Amino acid sequence: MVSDEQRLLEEYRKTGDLQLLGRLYEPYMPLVYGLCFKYYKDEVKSEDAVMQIFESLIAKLRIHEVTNFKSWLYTLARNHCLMDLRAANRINTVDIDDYIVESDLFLHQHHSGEQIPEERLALMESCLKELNEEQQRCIRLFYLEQKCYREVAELTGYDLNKVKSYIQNGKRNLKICMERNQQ
Amino acid sequence: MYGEKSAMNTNYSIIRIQQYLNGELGKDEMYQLEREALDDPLLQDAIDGYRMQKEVSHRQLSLLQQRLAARIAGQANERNAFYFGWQRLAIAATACVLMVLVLVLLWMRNYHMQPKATEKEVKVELAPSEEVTHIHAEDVGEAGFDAQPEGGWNLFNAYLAESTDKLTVAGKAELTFEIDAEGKPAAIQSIGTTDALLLTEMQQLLEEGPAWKGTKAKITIAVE
Repeated sequence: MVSDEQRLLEEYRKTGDLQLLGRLYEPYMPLVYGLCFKYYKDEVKSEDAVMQIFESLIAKLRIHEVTNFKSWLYTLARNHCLMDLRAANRINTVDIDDYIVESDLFLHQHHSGEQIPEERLALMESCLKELNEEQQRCIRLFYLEQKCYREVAELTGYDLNKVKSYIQNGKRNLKICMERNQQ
Repeated sequence: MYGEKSAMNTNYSIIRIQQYLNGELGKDEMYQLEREALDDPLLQDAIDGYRMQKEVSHRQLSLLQQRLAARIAGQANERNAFYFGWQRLAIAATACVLMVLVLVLLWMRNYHMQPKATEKEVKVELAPSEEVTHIHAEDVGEAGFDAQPEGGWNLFNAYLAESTDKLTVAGKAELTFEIDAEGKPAAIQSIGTTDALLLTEMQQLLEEGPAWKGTKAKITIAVE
């Protein structure tokens, strides 16, 4: 099955027609802008970065054969912001822990849609117990009871931002634990 | 599949982000978006970014869309400029090639012409020596030059006419010379510039020729 996106990617790589690239990039612009703002914390710089990222797409997508455009774009956009910030020597204003969590998620995203067999559920249960209390409580509420962050925060009394990072880190630790025990 | 859904519905997702941040979503919807964001780092970072900005500005986003559109249109113009640039380059290249071709052709023509030219020159040089058919000498008749050929001018010219095969160059010369005790011409000199070879040949003719009477002579000899 060839999606619209794949067809656009392929045609652009052959022709270099910017109309095609524009159609490909435009839907992602709001997300890319949000991402840029997260790193720059500046509206003008973020807007410029959105355009600069488009510029680098112009060249890169003629060379590279990209299969998953969204995750590829994410990596490109984030690297653009980080490199730019590093060049501007302002890297110390960002939270490193967040990147580790997210890049880890990024690497393992392909498993997200898999069916979970019985023994893995058991394994997950035992791994859950290995997490620290905060992570365990948040993960249980979020994944098993399907509460949103705000509900989790209300039920546990944790700060909303803490909840988010407990869930992200808890998910990562869970994954590491399960992969270790599976082998 | 990952990414597929959100690629198709980004407008929808930016509205969802806005509603999420404004607390306008129901709990289930909030959970759904948080779940998606956990598996979608781009969505997660975008949500974080908009939360920091404290708003989703649609005006700002549409300005960005306009910038993108302008960029694409600008590139089209730039492309045209490039296209013309290429066209110009092509013309320039063709002109260069043509010029080089013409130069090579000219050079080749010269190269082939040169040996022919020298051949012709040689022929011109040889032609007169083979074609000396007529020779005539006569007295200039100036006062003080009394010498005459012993058998008269007609006999002398007959002698010259028989000797044409000894001559290789054509030309005309005015000569003066003295007659020695034995009646032979001596100290033969030319008046004005005369071809060196012609002079030598004439001296030889005169010295080997008939005797003269008188003391001094001034004559002209024409070789044709």
